[in-house]
Amino acid sequence: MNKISKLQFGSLMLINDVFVLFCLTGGVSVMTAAGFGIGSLLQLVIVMPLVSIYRQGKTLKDCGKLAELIALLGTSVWGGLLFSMLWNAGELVFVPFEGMGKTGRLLITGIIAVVCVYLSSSGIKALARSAVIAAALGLVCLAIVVVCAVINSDISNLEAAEDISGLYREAVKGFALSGGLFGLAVMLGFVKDNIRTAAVDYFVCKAVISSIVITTGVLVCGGIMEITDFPIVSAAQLSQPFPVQRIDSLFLIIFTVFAVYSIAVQASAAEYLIGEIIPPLKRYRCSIMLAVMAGLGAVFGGRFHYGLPFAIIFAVSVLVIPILYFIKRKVKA
Amino acid sequence: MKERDYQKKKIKSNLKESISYIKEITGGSSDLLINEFITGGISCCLLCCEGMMSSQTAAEMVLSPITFIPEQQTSQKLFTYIQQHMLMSSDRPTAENYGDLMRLLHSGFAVLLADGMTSALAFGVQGYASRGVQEPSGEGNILGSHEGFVETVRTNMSMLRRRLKTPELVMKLMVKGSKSHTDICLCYMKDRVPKRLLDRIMKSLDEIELESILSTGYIRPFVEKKSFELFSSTGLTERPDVLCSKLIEGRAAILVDGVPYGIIIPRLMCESFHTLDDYAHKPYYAAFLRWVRYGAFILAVLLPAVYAAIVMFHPELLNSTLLMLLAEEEKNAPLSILTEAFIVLLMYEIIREAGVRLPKPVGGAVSIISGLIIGDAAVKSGLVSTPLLTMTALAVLGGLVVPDLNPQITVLRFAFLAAGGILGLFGISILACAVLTNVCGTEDYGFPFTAPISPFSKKGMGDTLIRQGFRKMQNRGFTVEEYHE
Repeated sequence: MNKISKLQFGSLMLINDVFVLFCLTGGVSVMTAAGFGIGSLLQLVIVMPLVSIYRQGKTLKDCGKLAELIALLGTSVWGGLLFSMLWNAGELVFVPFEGMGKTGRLLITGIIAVVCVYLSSSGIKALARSAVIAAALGLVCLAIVVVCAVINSDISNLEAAEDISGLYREAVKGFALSGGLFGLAVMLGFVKDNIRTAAVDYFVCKAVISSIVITTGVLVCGGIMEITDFPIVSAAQLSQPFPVQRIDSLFLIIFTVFAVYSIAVQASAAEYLIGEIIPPLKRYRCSIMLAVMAGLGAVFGGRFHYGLPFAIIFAVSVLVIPILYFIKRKVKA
Repeated sequence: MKERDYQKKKIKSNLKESISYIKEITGGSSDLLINEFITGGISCCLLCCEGMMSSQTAAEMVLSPITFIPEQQTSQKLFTYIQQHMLMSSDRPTAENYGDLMRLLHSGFAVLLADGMTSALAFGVQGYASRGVQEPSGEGNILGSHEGFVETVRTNMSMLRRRLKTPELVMKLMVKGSKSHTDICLCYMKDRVPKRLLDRIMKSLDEIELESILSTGYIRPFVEKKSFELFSSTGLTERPDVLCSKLIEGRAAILVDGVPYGIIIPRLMCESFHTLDDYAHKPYYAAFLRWVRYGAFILAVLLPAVYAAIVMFHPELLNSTLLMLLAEEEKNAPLSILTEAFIVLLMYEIIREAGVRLPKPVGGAVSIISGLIIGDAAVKSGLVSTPLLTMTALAVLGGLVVPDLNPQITVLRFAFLAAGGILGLFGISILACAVLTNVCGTEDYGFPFTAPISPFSKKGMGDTLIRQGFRKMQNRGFTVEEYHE
């Protein structure tokens, strides 16, 4: 039985969210932290109908092929966006390929894709179990970075980081970073018991971690936010516990591990969905889906939109799945 | 003659024919002793395998009493008389066919054939030369027992029984290997072992169709998962006390005749970091030692790789003094750090292998020559830098702290070194993800190898991250079933 625990589910999902935070571009402020918190809670609200379906012992399969297709599309698009984010932030972090341009990107993508294929083919259980350890180690490293950042921070930076967009737009931005919800829709079906608690705990943790990480970024980079491309990465780079050495290279480890797991989770979800939609396709499902994701990543070309259109598309898509289930049930009745 | 020809063939009633048939089966092997005599007025024959039985016991317990049997009317009555009036040995099986007869004969039994009988009586007079109980060579222990398993399966069984004097301990003997007919003993505590685990082990053992079983390595692949796993989900021990503790925890064990090791099913990764001494020391010291072992394992796998990655790709991680020191040392080395590290590690593996394979006195000399002369010469000539040699030595020493995982550590060390040397910390992280997933995916019979860390069990932490005192542990009532998924 491919069942996973609450903790494993939370770890799989949180890794994805923290990775997205690392790749966050543009200025951030205290309002962003609040907006991301609100965005997370809004996501919880729109996921609740799906949770109630799963609690009845139903799965995504019971929502129909169309629902599965929507989830597959969403997962693929989100996987593509993750690749796109990786290429964007990767330039800052991947030392061995520094200055190699497109070849470097291709190498990064190739290596990560190969590892993702292996991770996904190991099965949901193995992926979920290892994600707990990866998330725990990542959170320890992140805590070290956050503590170092707080020590080196300046409280006046909170005000220095100018809020140009307001709470509404920041909440929309936080909500738009919700493509992981499609992966969540699949993974939630594997949770052993207490699905509602698993979902609630996950979104609360997400809101708290997002707010802490963003606030730390503001505390460190507040004064230079205008010239900072990746505030969270910059915060890690600027926070040094010792004056004579730089430990931000260690941040590379978390970044890489989280990138691999984020993409592997999407690949696993997509592999499962395509298996449900096209049952005769038994082999190379994961490789095909990863190739699709990498292709979509190339189409997005390193650009990512946090705006309202993406927020609406994701929200509507996630809401459509339970609606389709209720329609199917009505028709059957 | 084909083996299957005689295996099921009934014993012939004509003694002469039977003896000549046995000679045909054995091909006139010199170790078959055939003693023909008449007792109770019936022609009989006592078959023995030279070297497999004790001549003294056979003479005192079988040959001597058997010659004083009063006159019997039929051979059937002779056998009944022997069975009812003469308790020659406690182990007295009967063979109905030549397959059983040969197996008993080659196991050290004395086999009695009588003219007119289609069965044979066997008497347990085994007495082959075997090694005495000695201290285990690989699982060092300071405060516990110094007894280790030996090559004789029955002696090993007795060692377990001496420690667990309970009828709950079940030891089931079976024979495997179509040529070797090796005795295999499946041990478990019937009140602790999960029934489905036992059923599945039995099923796995039934799949064995090997001709011979000469070591535990012949059996382990059958009781482990088929897919590629870096780490073994079954363990080995040469200590009866360790095996007993595992049996009490609801695991099963397999003893193989001729091998001084027991296979433990299932094994968890955290157990590789436990020793029996942990339970003899104070809990705080035992916990400290465990953390030393965890640290040593990480050092053993990652230290050369991280060193190469940092020096080659991330020098900013080092403080300026250390950086200058390393730069100064590496400046004089003619080879790249990655090549240097590979050569040093490979050199160590060659020396280790030579030390293991050579006779012990020569092995010691090899260590001295390699450690003192080659190592010193390599550094002095500038072929290898001192910091790199220090890192490698530390990594190798770290691996020796966890001997259970030595094969995996050795291979992973090379793999991580390649990843770190080519791709820096990025490569190490990528490979770590793959290795972690492989380790977490290791699961046999539904017991995850990484339990109780992932899947996480708070209760299991009491004997994993720390070592609780026995007062707390005695109320725990732990069995491995708790980790079943």
